[in-house]
Amino acid sequence: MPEFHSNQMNTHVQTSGINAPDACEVFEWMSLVENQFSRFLEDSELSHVNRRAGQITLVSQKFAELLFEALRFYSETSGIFNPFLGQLMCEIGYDCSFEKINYQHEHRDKEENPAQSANTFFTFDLDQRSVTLSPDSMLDFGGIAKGWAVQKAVLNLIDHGRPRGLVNAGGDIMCWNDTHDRTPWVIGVSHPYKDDQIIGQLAFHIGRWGVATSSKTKRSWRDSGITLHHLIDPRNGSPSDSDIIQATVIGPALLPCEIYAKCLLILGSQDGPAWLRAIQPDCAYLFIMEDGQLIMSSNLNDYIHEQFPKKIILSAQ
Amino acid sequence: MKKILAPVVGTLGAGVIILSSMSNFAHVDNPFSLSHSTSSSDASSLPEPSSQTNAANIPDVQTLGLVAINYRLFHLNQLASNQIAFWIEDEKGNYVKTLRASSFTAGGGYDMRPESLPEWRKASNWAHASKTEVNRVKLPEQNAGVHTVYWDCTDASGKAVKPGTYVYKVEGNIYWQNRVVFTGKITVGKKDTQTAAQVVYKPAGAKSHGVLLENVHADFDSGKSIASVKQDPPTNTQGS
Repeated sequence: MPEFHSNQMNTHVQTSGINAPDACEVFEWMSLVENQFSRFLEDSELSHVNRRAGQITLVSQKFAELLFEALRFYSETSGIFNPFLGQLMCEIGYDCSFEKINYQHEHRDKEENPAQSANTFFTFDLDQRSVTLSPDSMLDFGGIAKGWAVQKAVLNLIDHGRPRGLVNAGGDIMCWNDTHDRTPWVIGVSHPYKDDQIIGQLAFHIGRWGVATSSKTKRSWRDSGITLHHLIDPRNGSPSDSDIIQATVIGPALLPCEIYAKCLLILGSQDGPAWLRAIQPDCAYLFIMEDGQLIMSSNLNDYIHEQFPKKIILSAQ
Repeated sequence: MKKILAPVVGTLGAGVIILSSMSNFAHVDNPFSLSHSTSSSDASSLPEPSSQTNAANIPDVQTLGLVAINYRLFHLNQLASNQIAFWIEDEKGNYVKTLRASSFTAGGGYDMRPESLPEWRKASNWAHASKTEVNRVKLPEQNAGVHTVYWDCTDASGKAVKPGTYVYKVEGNIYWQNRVVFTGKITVGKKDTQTAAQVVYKPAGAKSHGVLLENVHADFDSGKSIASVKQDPPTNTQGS
């Protein structure tokens, strides 16, 4: 089974079951998405739009498409997924590509408290394909661009008749199998602190599947002695302090799974399951709690290939 | 004119989108998604497949067959241990390909611990391996038990190797510089073959620190394809 690897969007991208030209197409597409939608690249279209906050800015079709998807999930999740957090992310210190954060924090002037965003507005004119951001806000597609890019790449391959394949961008995975090949895709779920250690396995047979995992242990950093991470609870503007440290969501498409995994991690184990059942009952989930316990939806059993333990030992060592 | 107005209040607490000229916003089609095209020109360059079979999507590398290297792995509960690497050399000792290597060492952990898999690193010139190569061979932690790693009879560049006798090697760190190395020869060609590997402990007393690997043996299955075997999952989902 051929596998191809590349580093795109500051993460490891892997393809399986597709040929080299198709894999190249996927990698080039991911690179294009990064160049267009990164908050950390000055020349990206997103940076251009953010710099022009307060003014009407025409956007490309791809930008409009991704923005529409972001607003769709903003609406569906009642704002738990929020693409308007760019300014807040900068204020808490996520203002550069992640691997540079700790270095930057040693060398930047500290703000006592991140500024609170003032009342603001946003306009998206669909006919003119223009965006008007309020002067004090910034768009951030960090929570959606990767899943969207992988999902589009996979749907493009399926549209072109590719019968089987898998694309994995840093743990956000979409795979598909048509009826001609019954070999399942087997995907391991990693330990929150050890990517190499698998705590259980999922198997996917005929159909299309998205698998996404969100974790507080990733993209976290320390500032003034406090550990911060990138999953912001928009209800209070702070890194989520819910009781879940890692959430995995499985569904028929990747993008919703990526969004829901983040939302569940923010909402916590008390409110999250009912919330997900209400908006997307077909999705399955697996939580790893702060004490190492695993909580899973009943429909996760449909995908289990190797049983998960009831509890894992949480240790960063 | 269709407009979406999204008031963002305080620290984004309101979470309300006010829609003009649109209803059921969450369920409408994306007006900007004309297709699933992923090219910059909005016209995908992907060719149509020549057939609907899975074989159409596997590179046409005609290989001799498949070598399955079987081994029993133990877990040693001690420092600087449990690192393993599998690689292939030709009969003259020229490096052919790394099959798998523990992710700590393969990913550069040897900078911190130079005792990690020195024989494999020297044979493969691993310090100069590409990122793609590193990512290809990184072996996730395996549970104790019987495992198989496969060689599809291609070299590091993906080209099919010529018929002949090849050497498969497995190196494991038992405890710091104490290692075990298994070496076996296997002939790939038109006939199925089986061989067992010979073990050497380095230094000779290394075995006193524990057994990491045993019963390393290989089977060559002429004409068999890598696509036909069930391997350990190549893919993990982890937090991002």
